[in-house]
Formats: sequence, structure tokens, C-alpha cells
Amino acid sequence: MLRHLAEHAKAPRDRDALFQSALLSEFLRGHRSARRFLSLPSAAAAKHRSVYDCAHSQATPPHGKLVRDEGGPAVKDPAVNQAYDSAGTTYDFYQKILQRNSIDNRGLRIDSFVHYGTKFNNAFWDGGEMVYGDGDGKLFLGFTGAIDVVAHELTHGVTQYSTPGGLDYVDQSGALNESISDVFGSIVKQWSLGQSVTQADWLIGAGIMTPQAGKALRSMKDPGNTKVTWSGDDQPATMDGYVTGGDVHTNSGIPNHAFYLAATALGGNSWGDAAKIWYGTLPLLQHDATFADAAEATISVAAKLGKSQAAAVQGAWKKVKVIK
Amino acid sequence: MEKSEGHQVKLVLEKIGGFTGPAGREVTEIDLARLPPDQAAAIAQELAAVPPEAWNQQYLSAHPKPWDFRHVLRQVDGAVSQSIEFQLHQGPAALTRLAEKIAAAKASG
Repeated sequence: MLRHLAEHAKAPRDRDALFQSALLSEFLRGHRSARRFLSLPSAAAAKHRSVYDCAHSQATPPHGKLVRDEGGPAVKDPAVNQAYDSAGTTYDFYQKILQRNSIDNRGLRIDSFVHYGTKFNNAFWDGGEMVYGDGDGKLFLGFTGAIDVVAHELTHGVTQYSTPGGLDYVDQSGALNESISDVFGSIVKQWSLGQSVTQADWLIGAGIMTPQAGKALRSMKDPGNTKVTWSGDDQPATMDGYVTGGDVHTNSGIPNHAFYLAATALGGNSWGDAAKIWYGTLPLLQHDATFADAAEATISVAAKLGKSQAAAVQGAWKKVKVIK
Repeated sequence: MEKSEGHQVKLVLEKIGGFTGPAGREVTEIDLARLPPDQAAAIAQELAAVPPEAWNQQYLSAHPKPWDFRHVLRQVDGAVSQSIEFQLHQGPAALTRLAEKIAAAKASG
């Protein structure tokens, strides 16, 4: 019934609301533990960000001094303000576009730790908080400087809370986990810049590499094209280049490219139907999902929006040779 | 591998994961002979606690999470080298302690 109403709703806002309700209803019927994975937002959604300075400690778990809390003024340290601002934009995106109440959909406070380690060439979500290195200055610069990096890592948290058991970070499920983070990293960047799918650069990590190292870490539009990324980019765009036993950051090029193809086929803004389809798929995946599982799930979710949406998503997965 | 007297024991620990993956692999090289004696002794103690049969094996989680960095520990003793691939809290407990002590040595070095 909800699906039928969603398919025939005239106003996009009504259609989206009905579509989300349909998804939730179907998920609740299929999974008794759904509340944990697709929990309804708590009554009061309150954004709360805290940023800590590790002062180059590389402790596990990270620890540091609180340097900026929600509502506090900007500080002198750009890394602190970047982590604060980009976490806020990511939070706003999930709330305004996908009606999600923070990372866990229950208003989780977003804690960020900056200046982790010395010349630390990474950023990561540790299961409960964000951690950012400053880069070594030779290959990487600071990781707070790119909003897609922040949104990418926070989305690992979203996946953790949305897919039952999370997506195992190995093989195809791991590459899907990475790809979903790239997908929403790019969408949040496009949303923050107000870019359409044709205006977007579809690069991941643009601005975090030194000019001599490269322009970006990955390209969703053209995976593996070292001219637009960097010399070590080994991502395949289709299953022809799939690396058996390969790193999750390598094989994620395939579902990344599928999303790019689907979003551009759908047109407009990536945070429209494309985002809703990929987001609606998260609760439907299992911890060991394959690319084919993701294709089937996204097509099924797209079909709830309409035939043209389903065709666009199906065509994308065909082009990357995940399905025939 | 028997630890031979007079050879310099070198440990190389690689950590891969996070946003950058292999592109941002963190490599820490430790030469026990060049470390402060207390630090070298602590690392040597954990190294000795790694069961011999653990070398050249993998200890990876069956359901790894994005924050489970992949570690590769390589021990070079003279011309002989051996390695272990693991994630923290997988396999012999000495591996996790060893990784922590190598990280601490790097931070203090």
C-alpha cells in the first residue's frame, strides 16, 4: 500500500516520505531486530560536535584536550574548525536529506580527534569517533581539509549502524563498505557545493595530497585514471579488472563507478533519487554482501521509485559488469 | 627462526587501513640495537613471547571492521626474514602488545 502511494504521489516531498515509510515497513516485517538498524529518530535531534586535540599522541583509543564544543567560537587552529564544520555539514546532510538523526540515528555526539600521531597519513572512524592525522607533507596534507574525507569516515559509522552486523571489511563486502563511504563522501561534497551530477568532479580526497604526489586519491567517474588522481591509483572500473583478494580500497572502484553511472543516468543532483536509493539499500544488505547483492538491492529499492529509476540503476550495474 | 647472537634484529611493522588504505601505509622500522636498553628489552620480551609456529601465518578477524587495520610484522635477523599478518586482538596476544610497543618506540624516537 505504501509503495503504491509512493509511486503515485505527485509531490516529491510526499513521495519521499512515503517511500521511506514503505522501506521501514518492509524492513520491520522482515527483521525483528530492525529497531537497532533502522531506528526511528529520537524526539529531539540535537547536533553536538566536540573536537579534541591529540597533540600528536597516537594512543588507542585516541585521547586529547577538548578544544571546541558545540556552539563554541572558531579557534585559531584550522584543523579544529575544519573537523567541526565538516562534521556539521555531514550531520546536516543526513538530517535534512535522509532524515537521519546523526550517525546512529539516535543523536550520537560526533567526537573528532585532530593532530593524531606524527606525520600520520590517514583518517579513520574507530567505531565511535573520528580520528585525523596531519599527513607527512610529502604525500598527504592534513585530512580535515576535504569534506568528502570527513563524510566518508562518518559514513562508516552510518553503515555500522544501518546494515545488520555492518559490512565485513574484507573482499566484496569490504569494497562495498568503502564504496558506500566514497558515495556519501562525494554526495555530501556535492550537496555542500550545490553541484549537479554534471558539475561535480567525482574525485575523492581532492586537496589532501601534495601537488607533487597527485590531485586526488580516487575517481568515481574514472577509476584508475592516474592522470586525474595519483600514480598509485589501481582501481578497476569494471569486473574485468576485479582483483581477487585485493584490497578493499582497490575493488571499491567498481561499485563507485556503478554509483557514478546511476547518478548521472538519473540526472539532477546526486542527493536526490541516487542518494535515497543507495541509503535505502543499507538495511537490506547482509554483513557478507557481494557486489551482485548490492546490485539486486539497489535495483529493488529503485523500483519503488519508478521504472526509469530501476532501469538507470540496472544499467549502471550492467556497465560495470556486475550483472548481465 | 633461531635468534642468533651477534646479528642485528630488525623489526618492520606495516599498518594498512583507514581512508587512505595502501596509499597511506604506515611503516615503522625498529633496530633493537639502536633503541634505549629498556625499550629494546621490552620489545625483545614480547618478540620472544610470539610462538614460533605463529610466524608466516595470518591472524585476521572473520568479520573485520573498517577500523581493524591490517598489520604486517617482518622480522629480519641477518639474512633470514619471516613475517606475520594480523589485526590487533587476533592471534597470539603478544602480537598486539608488540605492535603497541613498536608504536610507542616510534613515538618516543
